[in-house]
Formats: sequence, structure tokens, C-alpha cells
Amino acid sequence: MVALVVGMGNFMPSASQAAGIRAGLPADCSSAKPKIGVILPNLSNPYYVAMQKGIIASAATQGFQAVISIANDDVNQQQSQVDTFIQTKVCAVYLNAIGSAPGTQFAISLTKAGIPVFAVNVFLDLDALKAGGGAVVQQLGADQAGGGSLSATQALKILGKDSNMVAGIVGVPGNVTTNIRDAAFTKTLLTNKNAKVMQTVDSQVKPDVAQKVTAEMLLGNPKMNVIFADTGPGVVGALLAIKELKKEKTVALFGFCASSADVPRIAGAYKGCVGQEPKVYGAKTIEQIKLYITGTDVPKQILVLTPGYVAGQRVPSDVIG
Amino acid sequence: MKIKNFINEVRILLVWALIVAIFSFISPNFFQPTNAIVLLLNGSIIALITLSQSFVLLTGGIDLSTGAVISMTGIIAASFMKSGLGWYLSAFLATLFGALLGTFNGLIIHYFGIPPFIVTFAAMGVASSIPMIITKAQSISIADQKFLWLGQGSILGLPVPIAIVFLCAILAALVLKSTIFGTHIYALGGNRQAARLSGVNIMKTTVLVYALSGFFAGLAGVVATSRLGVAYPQTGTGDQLFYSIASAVVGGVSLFGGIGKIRGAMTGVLLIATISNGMNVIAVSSYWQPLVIGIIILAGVGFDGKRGAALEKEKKTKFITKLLKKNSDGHGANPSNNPK
Repeated sequence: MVALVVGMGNFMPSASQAAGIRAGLPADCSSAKPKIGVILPNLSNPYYVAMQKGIIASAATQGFQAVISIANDDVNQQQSQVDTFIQTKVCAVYLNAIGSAPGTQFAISLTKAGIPVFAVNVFLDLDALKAGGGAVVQQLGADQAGGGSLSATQALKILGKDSNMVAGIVGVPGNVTTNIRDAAFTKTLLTNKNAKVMQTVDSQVKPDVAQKVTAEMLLGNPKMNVIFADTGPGVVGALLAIKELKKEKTVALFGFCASSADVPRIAGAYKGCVGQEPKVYGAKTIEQIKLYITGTDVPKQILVLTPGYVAGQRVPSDVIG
Repeated sequence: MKIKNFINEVRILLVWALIVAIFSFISPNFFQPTNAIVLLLNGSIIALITLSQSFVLLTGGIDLSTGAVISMTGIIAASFMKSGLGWYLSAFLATLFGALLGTFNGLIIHYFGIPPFIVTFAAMGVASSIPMIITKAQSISIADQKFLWLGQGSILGLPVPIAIVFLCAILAALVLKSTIFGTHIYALGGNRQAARLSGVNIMKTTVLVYALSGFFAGLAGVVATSRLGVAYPQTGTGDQLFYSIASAVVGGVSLFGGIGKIRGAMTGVLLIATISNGMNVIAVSSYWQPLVIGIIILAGVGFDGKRGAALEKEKKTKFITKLLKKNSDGHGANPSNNPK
């Protein structure tokens, strides 16, 4: 078969074609090193730095060229990155959108251009996607709600399921993903009739801001004894605020794990955390792309459970909140 | 104009007192000594870069790189300590880097005539990239724990960052009030042409002002990193730049140059820091906070805009009056002398 094709119009099949490429994909998928367009929100969050590492390593193993674009949390920039990938006709797009709604629109544009979309972290609106004529091959991400709920479960187990809890959230109110975590944390915590959640402050995913706003929240709520920080940098800042106000014995901190480089141990006020493995998500998605373009059907959704850690346990270096 | 400035500063102080009263009424937890210390501590970084902004604003310029310099110098200090250098030398060298970047900004602004907005915007990009390039977005632990004294220590019960701000503010005020350099800064901001014709060394004044701006921002970075206990490439890249400009302007430092005092700028810092602190203490939703700060800044800048226009009108009126007087005395007038 290969010899026949060579004789017909100077066509040289690549190794991947010989292996069998799924029909209907962009021509680049048949090239020697297909391009995967990767769209990430930023590289200021260590989470995405780790994810990028996973993507690059896996792409090299799978024989892809990862073309990575960073949007600096700007939706318009993501839009132009999507347009660029459409123009350059990449084989597939790894999309970690800033928000679900814009991500859905991006997926519609990419689908119409014949480029398969793999969504990571921020899940798309499937109804709006279908209505717009778009499609997503797979959505992969951490179980954000499960993580938030697990954090509250840790609090209930460690502090007592009926204990008096006055909680505050060090969050990122403008972010859909962290809002899911916060909502799940709140819902599970409030199964304790003696618990209440007083307020949410904005850490902006920056430890210095988290330190400031956590201190202010604690000062405004002297009876507060539980804090949930929904990002790793938020945990770092919250922990510093607790220490600064000398409240290590009265305030318990839970949250999405800080990087073990920043907070080596779960100890003191820091009672427990739930982690994500962004490096694994990045690598796994690239593997799924490879499976898909070589003809294997992949699951529509992969939800990865967030592991939980408490005092005495070591948080692996690849685990980030 | 001196009396008007003084009235403006008193007005800001009265607004501040009113806000304190409102917050204290809403929450008894606000008006507590611990909260006052936390408020001043959290405001110390903004205070330092407000000093940066005040100097450049007085010359009619602006420095958009100060927030990014905070993260740059923090990472540089931590990197030096990691390589084995003592904390004091690391802190000093890191601060010097801030001053060097500022010097570079001043030289480009003066010799190439590029507007300060553009030059310092570009410098912001440079200063925010350097930490990322060095650390690949990772944090750096502080190798010398004695460094933490700068951000977490105290002198006779007063937190070191607050003491640093007091010292820097007093020195800055003295420089502006009592030195020839200070006079030149006001002259440059008041009327650049007249300053040049009066013999002010424009190059030296411009470069020194931006170097000072970089120095204070560098110092802010070192203190911020010491407070955190770890160097992050994202430190200082939040609202600090915005708040520093707002604080200076609300405190009476004119965006048009030539008007303002350090005392007023620090009052502006106190106001902004109090509002930012109070909104979290009384649990105002994060969605509303930028709106509240924005309205206050608009009011402050709006007043400054009105004052700037009034100042221009006053200058022109004085010139025309002088011109008319010359004409009526029979000395004639040269229209080409009309100031901009």
C-alpha cells in the first residue's frame, strides 16, 4: 500500500500515517512531528509552570511539537492565540481556557476549522458548544468540587464534626475554578450545624496579597478559627498572617496544597491540604491526544481525584494546590 | 497656592478621620491597636513606592516600573543570599539594582526624549521578566534567616518596615524642602523651560529623580520579601503600583508636576491603606472593593485635574497681565514669549 501511494503524485507518507492516523484530522497530524497548540492562562502560577513541564516532556516522548502560548490571564490574548493556531493549522489544541464561556467560543472556532480540542482544567459549556456547532474531544481536570469537599471533610474530622467553627475563605472570587472549590468546601462544612462561613477575601493568587487580606479578615473576625485557602499561594500567605497575628494555636488552616518548596511540612496551624498534579494532567492529556489521532477512542471526560494530606504526611514535590 | 495645598492636605486628613469613624462604627474590631499595626505594616510597601512616585510626579513624570521592581529586587536579594553573600550586602545590592534601573530610565527619558510613561512601561516589562527568567516562576527560600529582621523584626516595639518608612519619608521631605536638588525638582515640574533658563541641570535632576524612585522601589522589594520570608517572582505585581500613584495624587502631589509634599503623599497612603484594610475588616465583598477605591481616586484625580487647569489658567493670567502692563508702560511685547 505504501509503495503504491509513493508512486502516485510524489506523496511520502510519514511514520504516523503508516501507523494509521484518524481520518478527518488536519494535515499536520500526518507530518513527522505534528504540532499541538497549547494555550495556558499564565506562567506566574507555579501550577501552570508544572503543567507546562508535563506537557513538554510528554510531547517529546509522543513525537509531538508543543507550541505553547501564554495568555497572561487575558481573554483577548487567548482569542488571538486560538486564531493563530487556526491559521497555522495545528494538529490539535490543548486548551486551558481562562473561563468556561470564552473557552466554549474558542472550541467552536477550532471545531469549525477542523482542529480537535482537548480541554483541561476549565470545563466547557457542552450545551452552548453543541448549539454553536462545536465539539470537544475530551475534558480532563481535577475534581475541583471533590477537592473543596475533601478539605472541609479534613476540617470536620480533625476539629470535630460538631465543633464550633467560624470559617473564612482566602479565595479568588473572580475565578470560576476556585469558586467551585469554595462552594464545595462551604457546602460540606455547613453539614456541621455549628459552623458558619463569614467571608471570602481575594488573595489574587499572590502570597503577599493573601497575607494582607487574611490578616485583615482575622482581625475583623476575632472568633474565626478555620481558614480555607483555595490556592497554594493563598495557603502561603494565610499561614504567614496566622503566624504574624500569633494565632497558630487558635486558627486551623486548610486548603489546596502550597508547593512543598514554599511550605515544607504540614504542621502548626496548617492542618491539612488537598493537592493537584498539574504535571500529570499535562502529560496525560498529551498521551490522550496521541491515542486519539492514531485512531483510538478516548473517554469524553477524565476527572482526577485530588489527593488529601494531613499533618505528618509529606506532600510530594509534584503536588501543587 | 501654598495655602491651597495645606488646605487640601488637611481635607485628606479629615476624610481619613471620617472613614476611620465609619469603619469603627460598623465594626468595633477596626479601631484596635493590633489592626492599626497591621494596617501600617501592610501599607509600608505602598508607602515606599509612593515615595518613588512622589519624586517623579513632582517633575511631571511617572514611573510604572515600581511594582515590578519590587519582585525583581526581592528575587535578586534571595539569589545573592543563596550564593553565600550576607543578608545586609544582598539587601544593599538588590536595592542598588532598583536604583540602577531607575537611573537607566532617567537617562533614556532625558537623552531620547521618550515620554516617561513609555520608558517606565518598558522597564516594567524588563523588571517583571527578570525574576521569571531567574526562577522560572518558582520561589527562592531565604538562605540567611537574619534577613527576616527587615520585614518581621521590631525596634523598641515598632515593626522595622514602619520604622523604615518613617525614616525614608522624613529624609525625602528634608531633601525636597531643604536642598537645592529639591528646589530643582519643583522647578522642573513647575515649568521645564523656566527651570532650564534658570540654570537647573535638567539631566542631573531627571536622572537622580528616577534613580531615587528605583531605590525606594528596590527597598520596598527587599522589605516585602523579608516580610514574606521567601522570594516570589509575583510579589508586588498586584495593586501596589496603582495604589502608589493614587496615594500620591490623592495626597496632593500633582500629576502635572511642581506641586505636592511628602507629608501629603503619606497622608494619601494612610487613606488608601485604611480603606483597603477597613473593607476587609468589615467584610465588604471583593467585587465592590475596586469600585470604592476607584471612586476615591477619581475624586482625588478629578480635584487634581481641576487644580492643574486652575494652575495653568493662573500662569497664563499672570503672564498676560504682565504683558499688558508692559504694553501700557510703552515697552511693547513680543508674542513669541507666550509660555505654553
